[in-house]
Amino acid sequence: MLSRRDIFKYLAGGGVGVGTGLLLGEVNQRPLETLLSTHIPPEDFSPGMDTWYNTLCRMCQAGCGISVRVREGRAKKIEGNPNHPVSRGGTCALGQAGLNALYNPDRLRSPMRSDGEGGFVESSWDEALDAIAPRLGAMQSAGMGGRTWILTGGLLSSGEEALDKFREALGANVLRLGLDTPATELAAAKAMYGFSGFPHYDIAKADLVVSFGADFLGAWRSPVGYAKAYGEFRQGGDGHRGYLVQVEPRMSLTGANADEWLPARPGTEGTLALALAADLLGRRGPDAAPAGWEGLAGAPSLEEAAALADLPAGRLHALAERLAAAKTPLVLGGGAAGAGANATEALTCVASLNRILGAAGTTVRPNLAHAPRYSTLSEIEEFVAKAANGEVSLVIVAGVDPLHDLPDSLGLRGALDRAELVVALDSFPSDTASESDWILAADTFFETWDDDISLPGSGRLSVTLQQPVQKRLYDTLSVTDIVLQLAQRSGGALAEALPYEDAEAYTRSEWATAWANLGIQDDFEAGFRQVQQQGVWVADLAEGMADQFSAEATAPAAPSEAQFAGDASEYPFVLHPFQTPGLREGKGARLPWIQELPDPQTGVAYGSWVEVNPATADELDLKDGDVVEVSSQTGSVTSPVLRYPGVRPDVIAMPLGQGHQANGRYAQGRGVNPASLLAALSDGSTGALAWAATRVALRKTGERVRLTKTSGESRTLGRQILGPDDEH
Amino acid sequence: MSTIRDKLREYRTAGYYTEFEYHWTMAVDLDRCTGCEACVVACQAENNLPIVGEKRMRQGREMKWIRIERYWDDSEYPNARLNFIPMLCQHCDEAPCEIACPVFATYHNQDGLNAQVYNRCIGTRTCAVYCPYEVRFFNWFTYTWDEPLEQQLNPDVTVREKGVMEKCTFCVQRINRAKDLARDEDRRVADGEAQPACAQACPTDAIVFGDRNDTDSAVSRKLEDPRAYEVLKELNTHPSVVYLKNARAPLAGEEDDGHHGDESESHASPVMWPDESSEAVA
Ligand code: SF4
Ligand code: SF4
Ligand code: SF4
Repeated sequence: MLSRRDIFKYLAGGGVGVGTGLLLGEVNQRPLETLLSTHIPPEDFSPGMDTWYNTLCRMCQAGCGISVRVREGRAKKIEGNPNHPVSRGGTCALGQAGLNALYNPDRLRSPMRSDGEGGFVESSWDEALDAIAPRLGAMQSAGMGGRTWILTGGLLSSGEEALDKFREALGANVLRLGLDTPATELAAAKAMYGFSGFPHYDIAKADLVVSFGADFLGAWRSPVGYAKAYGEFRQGGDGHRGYLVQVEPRMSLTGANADEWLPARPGTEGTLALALAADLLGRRGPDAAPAGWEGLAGAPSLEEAAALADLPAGRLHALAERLAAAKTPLVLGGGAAGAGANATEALTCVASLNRILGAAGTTVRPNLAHAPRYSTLSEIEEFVAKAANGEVSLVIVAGVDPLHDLPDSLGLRGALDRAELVVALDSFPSDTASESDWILAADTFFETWDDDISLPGSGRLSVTLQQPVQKRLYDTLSVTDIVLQLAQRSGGALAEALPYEDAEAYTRSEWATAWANLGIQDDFEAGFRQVQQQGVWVADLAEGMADQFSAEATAPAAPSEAQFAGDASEYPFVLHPFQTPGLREGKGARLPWIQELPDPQTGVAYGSWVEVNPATADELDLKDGDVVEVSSQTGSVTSPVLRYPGVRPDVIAMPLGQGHQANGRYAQGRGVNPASLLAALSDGSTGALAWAATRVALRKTGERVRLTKTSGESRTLGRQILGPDDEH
Repeated sequence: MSTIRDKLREYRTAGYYTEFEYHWTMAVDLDRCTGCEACVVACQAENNLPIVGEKRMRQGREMKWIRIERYWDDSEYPNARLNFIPMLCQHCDEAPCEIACPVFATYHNQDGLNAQVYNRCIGTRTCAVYCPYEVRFFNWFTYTWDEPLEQQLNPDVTVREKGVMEKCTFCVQRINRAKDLARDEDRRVADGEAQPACAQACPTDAIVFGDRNDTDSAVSRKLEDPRAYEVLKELNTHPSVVYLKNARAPLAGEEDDGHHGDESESHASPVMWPDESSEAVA
């Protein structure tokens, strides 16, 4: 057994001099009486004594507040930060596993240089930065900054801001990448609420939630914040129990918890919503309709919509009744419903229900004024074309893994091959980093400074501070530090744009500037210290900080017919890629706790599977574990079948997040990546990647494997496990 | 004629507790629980549960003190509906596992916890066979952590080795810490002061933990909910985990043929479970 001595051994490396963190006296526990001190501790550190640091979870984009328990200089446990207005003390499975990233055996421990033969050799920061910075300086002064492309995500953080200042000073281009970006959701909010941010959905207050594709309990946007609200929605204690209807082709975690699951045909969500909207307006009589909304041009009847969506008309009528009767209804749209070729039109129809029902302004409210602008498919294509023409000198990949997360059909791999120099800033040898010329080893979020404004938010402005909770484990720097160092060493305009010593100085200066701009007169040091203790700064949205919803909106147009890549005769199934609560788009795959976590609905762990409706599986003679080849027009993967009664017979569902070519021992070579199969098809309005609009074919390979799946009877067999006298 | 219960009481002579200083109890509201498994990872992190690896997981040797069980109401598309229920040691007051152990490695402590003394356990695995909830896990191997993952180990929790049985402890280290603090301040542990890792992580607040002896505690109030029930109540294990039934209504809609029952219920031969009256044994 590992003894306390072994655990104390690590004191040598850590404990002392986190320095930048803050000892939260009031949260400290007293030392356990039984613990014997084995050495004389430094001042800010007592053996047996916990220190809790409030900071930011960076495992996904939700931006929850967490509290990290630090003992003897080492992070030991992640809890939710109860002060945080979004996550309110809760965490998700992925957030809980954050420590697996910090202590991951395959984290990068120093900058690495490609040896040109697929391997990497250790380097030093001086060598690495001096190899890159002079090129940047030369490009900048020659006005050739446009030959540099920065590939990043869409966080609203100070770190992203630094990267953007860097880009601006250099004159470089940027791609903000991600598979499931909120681009179409933002466009629909703009169209229906006249609002340029991501709305705040007040699920707790709703008595009826109808969600078109948004798996808000699983992986959509802010699962912890929404789960907190869901608890109140169901059993808030005031006697009301909210009713949940989930419309989606594959039963997500949210669908599994819904009172009703409506498996609508993919691509018909907008038409369904429009038919409901017209029906609701019809019930109220012509006078109640907003100007210009009378009759909703082109809206089908509920019967027509039901036939199109392949749902029983009675269910739609019942849903319309419910919507009409609800006091505080809320309609959500996202996920695959926001990832078709007609997605913005569809989500606009979905959002129109909120306007008709009076939810806009009550259960849907303004949140933040500014949302990041994600790159469109054509911008990505422009980058690929430029690279093909030899017009891309330098690519900086900052913390994203596009070679894994995005479809192969985009041609990014070829583009990175053709770029003169690719530099990845990452804490892991991700699929993209492993194809780079340099990997600049980045800190994990436990080791450095940053912040984030949560996009899904809480209806109030909340900025979560990220602070180091322990000393760096290795010779790493934060992404912000690397950007600052590159700027300094490049000199000229770049150095002028970012005159900060390190991420801490920069983050503080960002906060000081922001507060000064907002006219907050507080003593900065005292205020900042308080934010360090609370982990978050919350303010009510002042005038001008959030756009209000506009009073009027034009009536939603009938969505165009759904387009899919691939001919239905050759590719009979629509591929429905989905995120699991642990793996998400791929960040969970390198964490052993997540690999060994059974998927909630299926119980499968450690790999990929292909969900096939049992009727379809019978037709194709497929049993659990039969390996099938799933092929689209642009690629194919092989994976075992899992018969899943929660998926439409004409849809094949596959979890995202596995199928890494690199990314450390837990992720590498495990499972397959359905994102690789997706066609380069985009939403007609926003140009965002339509990741749920690819058709595939299935072929039985004849091979058979046993899925790694937690066993157990899936029926209660009269044992009344789910409660007495139940129907289960 | 004596009942099983009497026999257990009799059996529990010196060294066993029948009245508890605190009666730690957990209520799990299935109407709130979404099956998200944050509790599962939280427990893994708090209690130094090992990663057994894919091969051993396939052999059914995963170590999860709390797991999410899934049950289909109806497993036919499109009426398919899934239910989740977190399952963990029920800290039975009349624990079958306790009578099983030949060396008293598992026993009932003064707080009503079903405790496992690792260095007394000789690994007969009898307790796991006797446990009707299947929540005991045997260390078939001494598991190791890929360096430096061992640095995340909780210093308050023993790392187990080959040959011992383990299971949910209700995060006894956290309970002890709270009691320690309360004792120093000459008071009882306040409601909410002792929180197991699963309860603390749960994003829907489905898990409420506290002292049943305190009739004002949040958990005592949950026990009064009409939805409250005990799993496998007919076995008279008197669990300290109480579930609040999911309040979902049967599916609505026109093709609702009223068939939401478990298929097996209609087809299988009737399974006889003992009810309260069969508690008496000859
Ligand atoms: S939802 Fe995202 S930010 Fe929140 S705890 Fe989970 S991983 Fe972290
Ligand atoms: S964390 Fe809570 S909601 Fe999630 S599975 Fe566990 S008990 Fe259920
Ligand atoms: S649930 Fe099983 S292990 Fe826990 S006390 Fe009851 S019988 Fe023992």
